[in-house]
Amino acid sequence: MPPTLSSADFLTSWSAVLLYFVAAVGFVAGGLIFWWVIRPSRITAEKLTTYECGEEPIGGAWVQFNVRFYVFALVFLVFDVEAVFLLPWAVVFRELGAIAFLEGLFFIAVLAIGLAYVWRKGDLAWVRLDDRVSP
Amino acid sequence: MDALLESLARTVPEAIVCLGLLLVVVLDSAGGAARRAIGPISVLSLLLALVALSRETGAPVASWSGMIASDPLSALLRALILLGTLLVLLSFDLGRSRELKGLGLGEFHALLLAVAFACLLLASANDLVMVYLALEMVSIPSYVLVAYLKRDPRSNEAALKYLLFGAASSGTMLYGLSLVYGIAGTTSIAGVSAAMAGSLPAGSSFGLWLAALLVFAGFGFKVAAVPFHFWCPDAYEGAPTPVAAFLSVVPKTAGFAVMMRFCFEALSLQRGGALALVEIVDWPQLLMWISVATMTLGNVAALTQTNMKRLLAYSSIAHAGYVMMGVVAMSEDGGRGVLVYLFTYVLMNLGAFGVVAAIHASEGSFDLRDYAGLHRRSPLLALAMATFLLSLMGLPPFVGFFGKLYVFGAIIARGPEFYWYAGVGAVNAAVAAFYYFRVMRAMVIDPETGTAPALSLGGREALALCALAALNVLPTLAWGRVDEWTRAAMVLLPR
Amino acid sequence: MNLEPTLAHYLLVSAALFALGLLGLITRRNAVQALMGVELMLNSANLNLVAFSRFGTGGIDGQVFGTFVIVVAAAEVAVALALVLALYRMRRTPNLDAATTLRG
Repeated sequence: MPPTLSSADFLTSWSAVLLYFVAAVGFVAGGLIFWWVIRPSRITAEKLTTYECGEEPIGGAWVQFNVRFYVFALVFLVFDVEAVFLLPWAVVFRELGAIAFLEGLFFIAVLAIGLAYVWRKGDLAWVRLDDRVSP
Repeated sequence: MDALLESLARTVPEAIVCLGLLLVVVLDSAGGAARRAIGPISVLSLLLALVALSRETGAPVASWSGMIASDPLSALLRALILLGTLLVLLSFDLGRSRELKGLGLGEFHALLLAVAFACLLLASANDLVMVYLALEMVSIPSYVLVAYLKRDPRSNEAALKYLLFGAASSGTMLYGLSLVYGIAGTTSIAGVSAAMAGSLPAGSSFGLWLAALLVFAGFGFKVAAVPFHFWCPDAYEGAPTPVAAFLSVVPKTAGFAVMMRFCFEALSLQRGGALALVEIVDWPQLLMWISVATMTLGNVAALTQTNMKRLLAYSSIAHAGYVMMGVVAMSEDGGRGVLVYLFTYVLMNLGAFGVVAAIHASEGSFDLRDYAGLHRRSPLLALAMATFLLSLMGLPPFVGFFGKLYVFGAIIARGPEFYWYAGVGAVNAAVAAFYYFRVMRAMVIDPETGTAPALSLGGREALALCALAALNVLPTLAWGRVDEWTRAAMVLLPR
Repeated sequence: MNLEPTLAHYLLVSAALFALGLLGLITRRNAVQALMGVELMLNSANLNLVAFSRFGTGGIDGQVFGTFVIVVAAAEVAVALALVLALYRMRRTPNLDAATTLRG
């Protein structure tokens, strides 16, 4: 069982966090409220248009997400969780000997096969070429 | 190094299936001519795994740092899983399937092998972590398999229902497993009962009972027990027929394997040498009520079905109830009952699904009313189906009889307070006969509405269905041998 | 008065999270919101595992189990989102109410 703090130390150590939280929220909120109170509000039609970095805006700001992002996000997710396993392994495999190294390599190899599959099926291309899509 | 090699030596079948899976993915990525080798490679890897399994020797031991139990029980169950997967690949002609037309089969084989591999691990799981990982690995590829018909919205809907239900169940099971871990202080299954035998704070027994209830949510989902069965009819209806057949057999076997191991090892204490168990928490009561509900609902709901796949889904829900009777018996006879029932169930259910798939490939319909006059259009199919239906009903001399014989015998041997339970089972078996006879009546007696041409049946399908029908009868002649196998198999890891 | 959280606090929070996740999964119409409920359930169990690992007698097993759970949850939700995407493509809506053709 880990050592426990007395109630006084507990409050002291967390009070710093509370102070920080209040300061952060206060800084942002204070700034926004201050300027909202001070600035004049003269609304014209042109001021309400969407901001598009200086260009003429076409359509509204809420656009449909392109589905290609999903495929990349999915592939990224899978390899990210591979990293979740590889990071602890990388820290300790030296002490565990050759076996841990080989097991880690096998894990990476299996995921490399997965990467090869995704690559060959054309899922890594930003513009999906239909003739490379398998039926 | 030695520990790794020893562990590998005890799990050669899993290694072979895993390598087969990776090879199939590589071949599918390579494309072109290499793709033609995928079917043979997957069948070959399953055959090799079966051969390796039959040559496994060695004392019962926990391998892979206690994660995998290599004992005779897991060996027999793994053999059943491999047999089931092999039969699915051999008896369903995927090339002729109307449903799978135009879809690539590389992923199909890869996913099937992945589920089979995970079922092998689940059947021999000896640790809570392994149970969870293997169960999830069984579920996740099967979600994709159910959704395999990309252009059919019903397949997608079936997979979504399956997935949401499965995710909820596995989340519940994980919560239960975390409570088990908290109470026992260890993730090893044998360690749980060892911890309970020691001294624990008051109320742990109730905590463990609650945790067991939650864990049964996950197991119940996998074997489609009530009230975790809601996904089953929709998933079987929307999935391609070979997938429905596979799901009704292989994950169920693995689910019962882990249920048996968890109940017999984690939730019970072993008194004496043989399998004389004393329960720590009253899980037999819990499973008994689940089993009664499962049998009853499965049979009653199947009475009104006209879609063959839904009918078979409810029928497999009901059969799960019977198998649970063997687990509730909490004895060696009960365990053998589970093994025998699962063995016969593989043969009967795959046959029934095979006939349904063959009829769909020719006619394009799963509706029972379109089965009218089948005995004229294809006597072979009608005869095969009749064999499978009579076996499912549990009539001798078909193998289905032995399953029910063993589980009923085991539960009656437990004592007079279980007679009502066996009675419920018997009544349910009688009710089941109604809808199985309804299918037979449709095939043989009902008049045809039009003049449909004779059914064309592929050579491979015909051979496979004949073989399965024969397998539903022949083991009766050599039943002593089968009985010996189950007796030798009911040996769990020494504590 | 001891203000430090004990095992009971963690278990209470995780039970509440589990209940909320289950509620979300059952009642949400949008498929993605239902999946959020699933994630919440899995993470409540994770919290349980880690709490038992810290306060109980289980050693580091709970945390290792938790790592595996995180990875499996990621894989599961990836597959789930692929299915939701397919649902959206076929039915033009992410609402689960659109998936009701299978009946009986």
